[in-house]
Amino acid sequence: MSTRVYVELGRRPDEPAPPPRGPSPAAIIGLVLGLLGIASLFAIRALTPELGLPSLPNTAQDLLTLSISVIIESLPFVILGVVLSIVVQHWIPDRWISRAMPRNPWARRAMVSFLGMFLPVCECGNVPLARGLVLRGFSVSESMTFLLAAPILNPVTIITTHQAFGFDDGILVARLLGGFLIANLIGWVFSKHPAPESLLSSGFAAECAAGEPHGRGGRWNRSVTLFVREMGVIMPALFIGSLIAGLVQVAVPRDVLVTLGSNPLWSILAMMALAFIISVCSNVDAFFILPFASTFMPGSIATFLLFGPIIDIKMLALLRTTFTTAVLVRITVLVALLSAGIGLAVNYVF
Amino acid sequence: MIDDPRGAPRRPRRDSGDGEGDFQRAFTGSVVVLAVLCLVFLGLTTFQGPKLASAVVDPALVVQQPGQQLRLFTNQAVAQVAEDQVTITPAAPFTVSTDGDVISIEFEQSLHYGTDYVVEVSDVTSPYQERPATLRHEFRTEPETVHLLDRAEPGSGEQDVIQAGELTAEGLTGLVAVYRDERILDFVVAGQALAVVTEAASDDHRLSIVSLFDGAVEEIELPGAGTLDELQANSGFAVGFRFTSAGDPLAREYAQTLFWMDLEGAHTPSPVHGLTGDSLSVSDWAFVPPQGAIAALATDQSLLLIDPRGEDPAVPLGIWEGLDDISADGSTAIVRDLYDTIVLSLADGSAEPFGPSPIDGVVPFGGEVELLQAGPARVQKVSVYDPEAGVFVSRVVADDGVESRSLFLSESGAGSIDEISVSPNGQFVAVEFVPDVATAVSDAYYPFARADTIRTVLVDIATGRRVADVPGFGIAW
Repeated sequence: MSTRVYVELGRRPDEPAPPPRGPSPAAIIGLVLGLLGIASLFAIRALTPELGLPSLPNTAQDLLTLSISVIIESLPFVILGVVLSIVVQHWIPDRWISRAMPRNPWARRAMVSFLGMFLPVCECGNVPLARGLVLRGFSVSESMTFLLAAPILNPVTIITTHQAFGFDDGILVARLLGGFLIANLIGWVFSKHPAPESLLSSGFAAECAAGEPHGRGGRWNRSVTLFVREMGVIMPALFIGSLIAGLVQVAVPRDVLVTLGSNPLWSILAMMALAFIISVCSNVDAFFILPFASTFMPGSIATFLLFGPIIDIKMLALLRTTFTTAVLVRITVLVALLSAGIGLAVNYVF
Repeated sequence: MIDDPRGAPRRPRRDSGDGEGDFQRAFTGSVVVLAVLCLVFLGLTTFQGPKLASAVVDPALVVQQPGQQLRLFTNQAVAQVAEDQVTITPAAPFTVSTDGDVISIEFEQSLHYGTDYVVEVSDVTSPYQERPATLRHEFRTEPETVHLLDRAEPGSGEQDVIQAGELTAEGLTGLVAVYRDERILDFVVAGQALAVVTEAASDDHRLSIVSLFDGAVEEIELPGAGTLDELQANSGFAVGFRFTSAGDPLAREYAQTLFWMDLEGAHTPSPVHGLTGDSLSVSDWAFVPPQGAIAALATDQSLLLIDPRGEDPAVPLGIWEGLDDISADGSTAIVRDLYDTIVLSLADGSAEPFGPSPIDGVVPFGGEVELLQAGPARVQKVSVYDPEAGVFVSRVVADDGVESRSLFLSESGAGSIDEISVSPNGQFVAVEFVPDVATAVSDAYYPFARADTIRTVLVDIATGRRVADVPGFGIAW
């Protein structure tokens, strides 16, 4: 059995064929409980219209308004990103990706940087894709270049960033140029490594051999499975990120935010820390950070939009499945310095 | 080690790296260069104060309505800006507020038409550091489109014409005809339309609404055959007029009855009702900006503040001989009693007599008054006795409440000042002027007759400079 076949099946050749499965009892119970919960909310509201439920405190209302506004703004783009990710991973032939790649390493890395324009998935979907690129004959450094550039240089991210900021303060331009620079610099640095396989984690081979973990069956089944899985990963991050954004704005005194956001250095460090903690997807991070734009300097916003898609808690966890800790530390140092430098340059120029 | 797609295991493809040393040098070099770049830009940014990222102002609304804002967006949050940090050239009253990275400058009055403004905010700092910066923004306001009626030479057989031109600080340009008709008696501009009164062959009057978009003419059905006068418009959504039915004066249905017509609804004139709910005969009336109420001086000399839609009850404001003007902000009326001209507050009904302030030490006799946007400042037509010539000379003066300053007079002494009108933004006064009364001929448009040589002179109130002098009269701002 060829690799191509077992990648599609999602199992190793020597693995026994899995038994056919339907939805698990736990999933069915969860679905029923969820539907009952929603129905009971409607029922309570319909049966008690005259009770005049006590209104929430202003702070809680502000928190809900701020958080829900981020979710509503970003939800269509999350769904679009997931759908595109499914199309790329299951519906586009592999050979389309590797066709017509130049031989010059600089040109190859530059072209790999723009693969995200055709593979517009957010960083969550990039790790398995990057593994696949190595498998298809790309070098580790080229795979890194794709991994770092694709979350930023892809149409969904560009559209959402433009929707949020337009061309104001050079944030969009800084993000695009910065994403390209970071990806190619790191690609160049790691292309100098004499033993690229030593950059990979010990479990990577097994991970690759395991193929795509998104499901079994035909492409439609796998697409549905992947949609559920991606939404399952992204939606909690989006909700938690939105809640944190709302909490920060409601709980942290405005004076502190303004003071922090007005300091050229602290604003950038604060934004890098925020990006690292909330781990929000690059497809929606522009909407997430938009409410901060009035108090934080534009350069710090640009830094957030550069640093966040590449280095955050969730991404490091995913990257650790592929690269060694030493590699991740080096990548983090370079990304932090370059995104901070670009942010400082934006603050100076705009 | 990774399996090859063809089944054979293989290693990831290698780049051109020659050894561990190359990699370390590339990594360390990159870190050092990036760190230096960060420090350089950090230093540059620290020593640079806030910068202006963008600015927003509506150049059309800012000349039409007081309370418009210029919003300056900075690249970072800034400390509170005080009013003495803001300079506006040419000067205009304002208030300033700061919120995060937005400095909002609110203009208390409408700005000048077609004028270049420079706004500078000095010593702007961020809350974090005291590095000051000066923000500067320039913008040009929209010109005002004004309309004038220029009647044909008596007996020439030509039509009367309403012209439109663009008024800026530099003058009036681009006069073009927007409507022509026989015997145009009066007109007003109502939003994007003209309301035009013409005289039919039967001597009855007609009221037409002329679209300024496409010239379409809609003839309004009046309450019957008769005449109308005192035509006025309010902010483009209503017109009003006095109507008098034709026929026997003792059997007229309407006599100087006040009507109004909502241009946003059915174009049907409705009588304005007084305190008793009956239609109201008036000697003077005016719209009260900005809400569209009506100040009406009934023929029994009672002054009423009326909601023409009938939603609010009429408010009596006393007994007066005449109603001369309403201020642009709708707060004040100029009324007259038997002895004085009086400033009447429409808010609380307080009344304060006032007379024209001295001009060159001589107290003139006051005539028609036009209030400016705020405060006691006004423009007034006055007569001043010239002891050398032994005659009274008419002038138009700007009166700040303390002294008067001459804006216009007939140098030759042969001319006559007719009516005056101040632009809504208080920038210009239009003076209707007949250069030589002795040779002037009436156009016989009774009771709207004017001299055939009548001209309109536009004077900048602040400087006294004449910016335009064109044939015609009845300027509509």
